[in-house]
Amino acid sequence: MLEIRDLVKVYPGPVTALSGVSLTIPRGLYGLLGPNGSGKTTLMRILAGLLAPTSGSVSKDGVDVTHQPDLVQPRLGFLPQDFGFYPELTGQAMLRHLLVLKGVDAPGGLNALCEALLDRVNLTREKDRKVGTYSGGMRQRLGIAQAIAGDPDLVVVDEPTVGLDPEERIRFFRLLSELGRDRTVLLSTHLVEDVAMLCPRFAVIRKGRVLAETTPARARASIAGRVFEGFVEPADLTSPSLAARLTQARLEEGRNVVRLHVPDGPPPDGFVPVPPTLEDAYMVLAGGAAPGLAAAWPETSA
Amino acid sequence: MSPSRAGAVGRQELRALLASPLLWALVLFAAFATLTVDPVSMIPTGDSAMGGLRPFSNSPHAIARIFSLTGLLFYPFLVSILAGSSILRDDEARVGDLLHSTRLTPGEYVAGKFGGILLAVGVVLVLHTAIAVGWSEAGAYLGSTAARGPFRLASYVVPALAFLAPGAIFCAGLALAVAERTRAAMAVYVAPVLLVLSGLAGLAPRGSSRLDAVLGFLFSAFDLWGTRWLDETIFRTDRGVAFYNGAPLAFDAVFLWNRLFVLAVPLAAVFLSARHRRAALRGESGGRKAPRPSVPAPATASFRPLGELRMTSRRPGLAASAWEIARAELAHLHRQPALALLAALALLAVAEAASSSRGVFDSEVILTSGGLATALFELLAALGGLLVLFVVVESLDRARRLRVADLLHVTPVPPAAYLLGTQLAACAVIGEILLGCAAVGLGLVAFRNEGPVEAWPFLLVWGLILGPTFVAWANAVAALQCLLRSRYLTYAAGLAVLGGTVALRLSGAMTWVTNWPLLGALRWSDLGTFELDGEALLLNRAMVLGAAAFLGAVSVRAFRRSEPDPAATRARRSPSAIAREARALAPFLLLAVLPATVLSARIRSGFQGAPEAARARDYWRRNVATWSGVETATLRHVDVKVALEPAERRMRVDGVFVLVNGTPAALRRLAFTVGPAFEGVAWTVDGAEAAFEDRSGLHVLPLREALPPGGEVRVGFGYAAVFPRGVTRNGGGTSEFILPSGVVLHTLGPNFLPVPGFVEGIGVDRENRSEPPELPDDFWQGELEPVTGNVSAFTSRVEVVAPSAYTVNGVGEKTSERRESGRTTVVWESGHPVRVLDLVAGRWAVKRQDGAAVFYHPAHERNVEVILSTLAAARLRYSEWFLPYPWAELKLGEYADHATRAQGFPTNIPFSEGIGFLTRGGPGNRLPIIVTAHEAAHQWWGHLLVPGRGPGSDVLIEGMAHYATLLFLQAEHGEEARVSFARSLEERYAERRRVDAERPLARLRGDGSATDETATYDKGAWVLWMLQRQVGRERMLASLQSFLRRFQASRDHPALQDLIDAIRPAAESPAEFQAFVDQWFFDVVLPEFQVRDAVVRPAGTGWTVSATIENVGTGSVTVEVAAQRGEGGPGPAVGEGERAASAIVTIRLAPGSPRRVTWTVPFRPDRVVVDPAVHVLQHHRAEARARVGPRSATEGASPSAAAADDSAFGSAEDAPKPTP
Repeated sequence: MLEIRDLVKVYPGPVTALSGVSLTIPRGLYGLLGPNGSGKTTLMRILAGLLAPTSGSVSKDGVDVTHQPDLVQPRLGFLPQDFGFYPELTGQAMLRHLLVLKGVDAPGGLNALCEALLDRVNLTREKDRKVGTYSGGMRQRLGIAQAIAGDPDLVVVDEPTVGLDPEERIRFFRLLSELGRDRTVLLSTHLVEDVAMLCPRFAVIRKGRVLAETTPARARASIAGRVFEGFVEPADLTSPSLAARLTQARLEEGRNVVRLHVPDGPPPDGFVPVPPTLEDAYMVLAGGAAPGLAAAWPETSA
Repeated sequence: MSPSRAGAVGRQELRALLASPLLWALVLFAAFATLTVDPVSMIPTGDSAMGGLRPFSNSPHAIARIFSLTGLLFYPFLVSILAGSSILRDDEARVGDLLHSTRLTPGEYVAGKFGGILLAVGVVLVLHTAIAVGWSEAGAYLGSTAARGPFRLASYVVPALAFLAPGAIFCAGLALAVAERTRAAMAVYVAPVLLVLSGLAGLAPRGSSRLDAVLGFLFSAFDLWGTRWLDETIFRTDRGVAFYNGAPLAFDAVFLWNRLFVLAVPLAAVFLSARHRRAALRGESGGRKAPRPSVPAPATASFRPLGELRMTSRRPGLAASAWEIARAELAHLHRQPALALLAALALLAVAEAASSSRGVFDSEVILTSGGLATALFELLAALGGLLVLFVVVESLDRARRLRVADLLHVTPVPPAAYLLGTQLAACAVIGEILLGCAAVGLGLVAFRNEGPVEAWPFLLVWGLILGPTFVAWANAVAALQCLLRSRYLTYAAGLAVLGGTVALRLSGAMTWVTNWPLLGALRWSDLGTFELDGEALLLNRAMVLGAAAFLGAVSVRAFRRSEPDPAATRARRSPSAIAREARALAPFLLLAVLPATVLSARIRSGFQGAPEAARARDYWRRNVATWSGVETATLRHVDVKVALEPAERRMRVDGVFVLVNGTPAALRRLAFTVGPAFEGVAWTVDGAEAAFEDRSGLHVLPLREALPPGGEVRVGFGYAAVFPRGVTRNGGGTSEFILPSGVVLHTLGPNFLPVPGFVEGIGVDRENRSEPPELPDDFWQGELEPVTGNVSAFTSRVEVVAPSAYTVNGVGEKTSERRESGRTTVVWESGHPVRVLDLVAGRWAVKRQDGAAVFYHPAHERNVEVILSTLAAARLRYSEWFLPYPWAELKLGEYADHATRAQGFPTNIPFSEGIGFLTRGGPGNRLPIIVTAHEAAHQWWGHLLVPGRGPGSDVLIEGMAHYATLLFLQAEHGEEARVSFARSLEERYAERRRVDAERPLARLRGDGSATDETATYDKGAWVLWMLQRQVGRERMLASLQSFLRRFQASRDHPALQDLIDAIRPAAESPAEFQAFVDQWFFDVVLPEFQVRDAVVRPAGTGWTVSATIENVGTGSVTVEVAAQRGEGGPGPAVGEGERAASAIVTIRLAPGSPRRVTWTVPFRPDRVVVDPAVHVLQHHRAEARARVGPRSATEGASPSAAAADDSAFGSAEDAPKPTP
């Protein structure tokens, strides 16, 4: 279990990236959902030991590791949001290099392990190509391979599905869900769909604060019966009254279909009630469409 | 091209560069150079320190030299890094695609970048010039012997534009192009390394081989800062302070063409960069390789669970992880073409050094493995130092640049592993380069077959000695990087450290404690490897390795895998936190401080330490007023027993001086100067123990009874000595020593035996140095004391006991030798009286021939035959020319190259390995012959005849020895050998003389300055040769013989004037002789000839040649002028006698009176040459010739016209006459 208490991070400027984040992250998959600039990456880097917090603490299984990343790193799998590789090395050589530095081994030897890991991320055919020639997706998959290597009991992945095609994304989710069976896997993303697909629990973070922590089902339940769907004219999309309540918008046969959260009162004409999705719930919360809603969410810790 | 878009790029670049610490570091470096360089050191300054004309700190020549050298040393690195970073920065920020998605064209981008860089460099130049103006006008002359001249802005602006700006533009353009082409920081950094090293190499004088000519051309072409041009054109031959102070900078066509070339190259490079970028953007060849298109992978990957891989993880160890990091870094470094270029440069340097290393008199030196390793030590240290700086900084920064850091730094690798791995990789690369250099060196040594092919010296010098320097420097760079957290700040700091080290070396303040890279501290000897300073070397390396450990600890503690919080960073800077850090680092610091302390103590207690200097100063202070110039008893006989222990540097001496009172008064005290190394000195007088007063090294013995004039006294003495004591101050050598390789001791100073009386010169340094007294013109007509040695000659008996492995040579004849219990006892008796003694011992082989013997290191046999035959022939020749040699044998013994010199003591010449034994032979390399002949001549000029103390007396020793060498070369090796040596003396004289400081031969002070020395040796020999030409060889030699006979056993010791008087009767024309003497002995003149308008026309069966000859130098001389054709003279149709008679005319030339000379020769000449046989000392001999062209229509064609020409320029009495 990972305990985060009152974590604050202030960058020179000063810019406050985290304003007293507290979370309790149990074993299993855990999602960290938030818009760009919400402080997710700062939190991930603090957990990985790459960034020192201004104040607060992080403890793992009861041990304070805030200023002792050495205690976490031997069993840490980390996939940063923005990373690179030595372009002159082949995929296999790069992975091997990282595995040696992580102290990872397997009964069949390191080379066999590298091949197996590359196979898991579908890079077997590209293993002898220089990383400098890899596409963005390939690089992401190589990053995933190193993150899942070893026997990490804490896996931290920051926006891991960027650049992955749907098939690879599914493959990665399967790996993560396997890892999440008996260890802590923290998934940071701005894609609600990823959380919905993977995480039994998640937190929403915005402007350095945790707005809510719950499960997808409870999040959806919190707005059940108050989400409506209907068609609107393009000109109406920009109307303030509509924008304030908007949770989703899409085109369907050339027409604008929108979903609105209407906390009280009747829906607009032509709108019908629909079952809420997690995205509806997230947008309601993160978009600030309904001040005070967080308090209505069950298990909200903010 | 859109100027506005390019301008926008340029403005952005300028802003970025003005914010770069590197730019301000460059300004700081420039300011440092300006503020610390003494303008006096920039130009030849004659005797300004002694009241002569003072150089101006703000003269254009001084400013030009300061700018030029500052440019050469500081600008290339920083300007290149600044310019290269402009491209690399955009790459790292990955803004290229965005920029080029706009309307910005590659040409505009590159032009804008270049423009911005030039503006930034312009800012630096303006600031640099402003600092120079401020300092030179306000303070440069304070504390210096320089003066301030009138302010002229042009004195600053012109040098800045002519010397600094083109070089800076070159570096900027080249670095921009290299960065654009390679996108590799390492390549950008290597380019300035090449530029600086080639610039420095270009300043070294070169030989005359084809390779030297090619290199000379390349160095001239790439003379970015005009340093070579200034050196060769303006400063190599001194023009006098008045010229440098007053004349404006005069640029010749060569310089202007060079400036054009230096400006054209970067412009072309920038143009090509724009093309390359355009091609790269289009994906054409020549650009950076575009990534291969990704092929969609089939969905073959398994979905098997990770668990079945049964992965385990454990914290990796320090060694394993460091090795892994080093392996990856090394693989990266091996792919760097720039490093290959650097390695090629190092290999080229090895090959060049091995093939054309120069020794004294520009001789080609055979480089043994150890000699080669030592000769290249500084170059490789400099190259390696720069390489370590670049490699460590880039390696530590690479993970950040490539965004791999987040992946690496979450691994559980110990922080030290990152640093250790990086440094291992850097050191491994250097190790590979050094191995390659060693292999090339060994190969060349084997190919030349000039000495044993030994690998261990390379291993010792480049491995065990140089290796720790790189280890420590790598740790220092890592520490700087970890503390400063900026690659550019680290570069600035690293270059400052390297520059500061070089400045310290140049200042002469460096010691073994501060000389961490061992610059100039190593002297190799095949006879005794680092035996003089082995202990210092060991302690220095221990200190450097200790420093490496300390710096390593600093870098480990400062290394941050995680980004610290600013608040925590502030806390770490608190005094208590710093104190905690200091406590933690203290044990590591001790590792460096302990050996440094011991080393410092050893230096201090050594023979060059401060107490020794203080003791010498005390000796001078306490005794100069009382004892200087006081006449005392002189030696009549010396009888000493010496026990030598070379392995322990120890000797025990017991002996007796028999002294006689040669003064007119009774002596109540006797004084002896003893060596600083003497321990337990005891004295006896006539067998009775004597008390003495130790006046800081002058032992004064009161006599129980006054010693009457002519009375004799026996003074006994005994002492032990370890010599030399301790270690040197910063390497270097000594010409007297007792060391395992051998022994060299002599009585010119008090290190071997006590010297009667006060010894002038001990304890005299810059602070208390005074000029010798100006003596009246007739000073020489009284009785003069000898310039060296005892007042009168004495006899000697020296008994030496030494380990049997050593052969011990002394002065005179060996009268007995016996071996007992592994020790040899040998007795040397002088026989013929002498004035100085020496003792030379070594583990030698020996060869003998005709009364000469050479004792040599068995591995140095190469030149022994030459030296031996020269010694034997010189002994015979000089006996014939001067006086019979009074001893049976003349010996020469080789000693380790702790000093590269030879000294001709009576019968026994110590001769270092570096001055002849390791010289390559051949017609152009006669160093062993020259040095041997010179030292052999000292048996006569210096021993059989000892000149009197007074101005010009050294000419009778050194000038005469060189003159004898000229005679010897001509007699033994032909005229070509004499001419070659005479030319080399002439060139040395022209280069080393300082116009404002040079005194006439008869007034030379013997002050040890380069001007005095070259006048004594080189000009002295030349003047004596020209004197011989005037009076005739046989008459000259007869005069010398009578001169020697007169003064050989005289109490009076001759001056140069005595020699002139001795030769005077031999002169055919007393007036011409006096004119010669006045001009060459009592005045300073140097003719310089120019030939103009040389034309030829057919005349009957021959050809008439006309040319205008002018002496643009000083002095009136009679000189030959020759018409020549082909290599050696006229064509084959002309007989030798006829050719000589008709090809040469003799004329007399006075300064400022050009003469038109016309004469007829029997062949068509292609050139006119002044002084073809090299008989007249002159300046710029190469200019004293001209090619002959066809006669123009305006010139007269008849002989009468030729006569008219001549009469128009010359006087009737000087009419040219054919020389038979």
